[in-house]
Amino acid sequence: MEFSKFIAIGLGLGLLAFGNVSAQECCPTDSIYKHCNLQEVVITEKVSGDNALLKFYKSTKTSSTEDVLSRLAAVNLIRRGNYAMEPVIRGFSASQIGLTLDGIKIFGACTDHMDPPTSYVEPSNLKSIQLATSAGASKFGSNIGGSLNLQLAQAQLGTEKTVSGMFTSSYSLASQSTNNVLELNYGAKRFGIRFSGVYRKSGNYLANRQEVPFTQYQKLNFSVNSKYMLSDNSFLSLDVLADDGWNIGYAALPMDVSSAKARIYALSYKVFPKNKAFTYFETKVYGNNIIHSMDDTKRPLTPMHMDMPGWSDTYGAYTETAITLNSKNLLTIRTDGYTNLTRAEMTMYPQNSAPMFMLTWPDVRNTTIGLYLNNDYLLNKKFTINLNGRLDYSSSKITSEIGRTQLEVFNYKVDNARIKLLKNINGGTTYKSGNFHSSINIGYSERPSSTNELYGFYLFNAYDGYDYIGNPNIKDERSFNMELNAGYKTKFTDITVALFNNEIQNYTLGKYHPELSVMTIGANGVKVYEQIAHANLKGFEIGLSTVLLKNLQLISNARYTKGTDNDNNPLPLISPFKLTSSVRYAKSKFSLQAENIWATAQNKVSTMVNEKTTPAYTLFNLRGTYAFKVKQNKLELNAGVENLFDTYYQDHLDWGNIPRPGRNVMMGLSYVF
Amino acid sequence: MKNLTKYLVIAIIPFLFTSCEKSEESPNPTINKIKVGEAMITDANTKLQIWADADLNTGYNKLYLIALDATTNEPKSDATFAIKPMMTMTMTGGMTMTHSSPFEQADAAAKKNNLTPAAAVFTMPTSDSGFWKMEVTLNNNKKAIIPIKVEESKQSRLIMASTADKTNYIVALLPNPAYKIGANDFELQISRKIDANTYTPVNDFTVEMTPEMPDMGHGSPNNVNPTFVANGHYKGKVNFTMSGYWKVNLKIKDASGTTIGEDTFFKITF
Repeated sequence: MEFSKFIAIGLGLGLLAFGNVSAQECCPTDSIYKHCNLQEVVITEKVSGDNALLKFYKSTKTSSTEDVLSRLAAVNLIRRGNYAMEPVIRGFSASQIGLTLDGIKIFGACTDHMDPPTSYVEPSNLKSIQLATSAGASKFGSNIGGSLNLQLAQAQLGTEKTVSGMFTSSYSLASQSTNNVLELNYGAKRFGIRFSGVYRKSGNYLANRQEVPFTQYQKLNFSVNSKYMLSDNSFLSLDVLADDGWNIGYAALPMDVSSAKARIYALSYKVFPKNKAFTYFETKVYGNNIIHSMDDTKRPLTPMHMDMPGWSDTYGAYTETAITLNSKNLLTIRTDGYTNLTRAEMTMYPQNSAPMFMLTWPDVRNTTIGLYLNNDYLLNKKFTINLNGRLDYSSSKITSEIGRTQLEVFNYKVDNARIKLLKNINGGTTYKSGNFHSSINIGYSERPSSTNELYGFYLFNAYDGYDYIGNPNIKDERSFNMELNAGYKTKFTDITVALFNNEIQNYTLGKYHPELSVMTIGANGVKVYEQIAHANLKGFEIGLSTVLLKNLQLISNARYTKGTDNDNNPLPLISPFKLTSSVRYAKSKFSLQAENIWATAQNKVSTMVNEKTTPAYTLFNLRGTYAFKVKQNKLELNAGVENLFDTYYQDHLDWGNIPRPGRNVMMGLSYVF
Repeated sequence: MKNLTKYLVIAIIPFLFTSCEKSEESPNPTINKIKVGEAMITDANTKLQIWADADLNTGYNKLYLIALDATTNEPKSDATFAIKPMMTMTMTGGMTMTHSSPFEQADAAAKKNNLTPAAAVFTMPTSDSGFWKMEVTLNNNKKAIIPIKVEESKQSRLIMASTADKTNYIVALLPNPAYKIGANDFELQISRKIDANTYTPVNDFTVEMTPEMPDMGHGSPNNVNPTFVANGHYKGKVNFTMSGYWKVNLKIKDASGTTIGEDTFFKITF
């Protein structure tokens, strides 16, 4: 059940040494299993054996964060280019969902969602990805659609070899891209330092043997974690992460990105008290600074050059503890707070005339402090009852005079902060008996309105071709959620089914205002964020992992979401039914993995945003690995063909009728020491 | 405790000072203003000065008049003024002719800090062939002629418009030194030309305003059309969604609904 409910996907190298694992096996099989992800699981980064589940999610050693996310049954990706895809959880996206990095709040600096926080993180920075859809989704912040928490990998102490690591490099023919990853760990008895570095460079890829322009990118990513053991049971940990992307094409947008930079840093203290009532106590302070610059200089038909830089700075802290109240109750308490300042500018340069300037994000400060409580009550050996909730005090304010006066043109009064109390509450019960398990969760959640929705100023949306104006008077979106899970698990087979239904109120969307004149040359019109009384998102996910034959394992998941608005019209950007399957054969030094992704057509489209239907497609990938030992170290050769039959296709969540990559041959080499 | 009180008192003293200063009349009434003209009235031992918010430009200019004792340089608080702007033009052939321009007479009731406000709408700049002077009458008996220099305004601030029956109107945009992205005050002064020396404020027009950004081809929402307030003044709000070059189009109609002028607009760049 945890499979669909609260998944921790092991990343990094090899990860777990189990043969046939489900991700949840990192935690003990007690009924209060959900908190297993919050424990510090020390993973020896040594490949031993084969981990089919890991390879299902992270099919190559140089997979990107988005590649991994796309394999999660509940996650789809909005694609504007060949870079920085935006996660969607069960039809929810952007500020409807929570995205955190080890509990760190990060907000992209691009008004057009070209840099979701996940784009600044590499799998080699990570230990795991935690997805929460109902229970526990509000742990890291208020949201109505679920949360993704990317857990940073940590330095390991007291390792067998003082210095260990991994280097991997791969090359893809179709896009002439190179991907290189270096991971190093220095583990002394009381001190450890872990380094990961990633360099990626990609040219334009081919589809139908034609080059698809503006699909290139380059990026460099570094992360360092240093960990110091203060005493037998307490640790001090410092994370520094730098991610620089440049020359990034966004084929589906009218502009590219010249530079996307993130600096993320955190200092945390964690103690496992000797007093057994406290499982752990952790506190962290963090900050991150993001600068994002769009670039239209390479586009041939730009009517007028413009600069569109954006800044997002976030500082925050949290404290978290888990207390065993008695033999039946485990209470988790988390208090957190952050403050985020965003500014985005647009300067246009007409020929022979004065430059034109405006703030597209008018210096908006969002500050939130919150309290999250979770209690797991072990009713008996079969039933667990879970209750959790979050209360957030959230304030949004325009901090500059120019930002305030700018909104006067819409007669908005924004001198005072917009203050909201956001409430999230969720209750559920889990039943487990023998190989069978099931759960039901019911929740109510509210989310903060985004800067775009409140204060966005003529933000061009390339999806429907409208300029969008914020509306500081909108209500906060809220949702009633219900989720049913059932599963059956034996040593060889793991089947899970999740059904969900979200009834959303104050559903926020842009409404066309014909009386407003467009800012963007060629735009279809101007939309102002407004709300419809309700919308609905429902669907299911099925997961299957089974050993077909000795050495042969099938892992598969299916997903389906249906979105409807007030009048039963389809919501935009809803993924159709999709089936992702992988069959993996592994024997001694050799492994072979065949993958299939099959998506049905999406004909339920939103006419309000001029959405187009998308035909069905099916894809095949084939990957092989040969690994052998060189002294104590391991050398691994990888080769693969992606999109084996050179299918010309696009996914429904891809913007702008841009085809996905055609057949691609990739080769890789990795060395583990 | 005693010390605390002492420090509190010390801390408060500067604030007392600053508030005192504010309530008194500023020692220099012409601070932040520019002297644009000066003349002596010797038989009254008086220096007459004209001040303005900025260098004089074609269009509407707010003026401030002050009379000083020539010996002590002290302001004469009981002085009254009457003004009349005059332009002398040298025509080809050496003939000269003079005309006036719309103006707002010095208003003694509005005197502040010994400065008496007035205004003039200069219809052309000072040039080789024409110069402006201001006739100022002090206390209804002493007259001075003060030469002044008028520059061509960098922003368009003046529209000369006429109707089919050859009635001429002068539409002046009151200067706004600090246009901003957002809602901006937009004030017009409209005068009717009776003859070269006589202009009267027009109080019964309607004005429709549509700003546009010619480089982009877009406008802005929620503008407030200028409506009549007093003395030929019309006040409204113009909304600029971004900085840069704006063209504020005006449709000015007389009481009968006839449009005054063709293609009337002001260009504003900020």
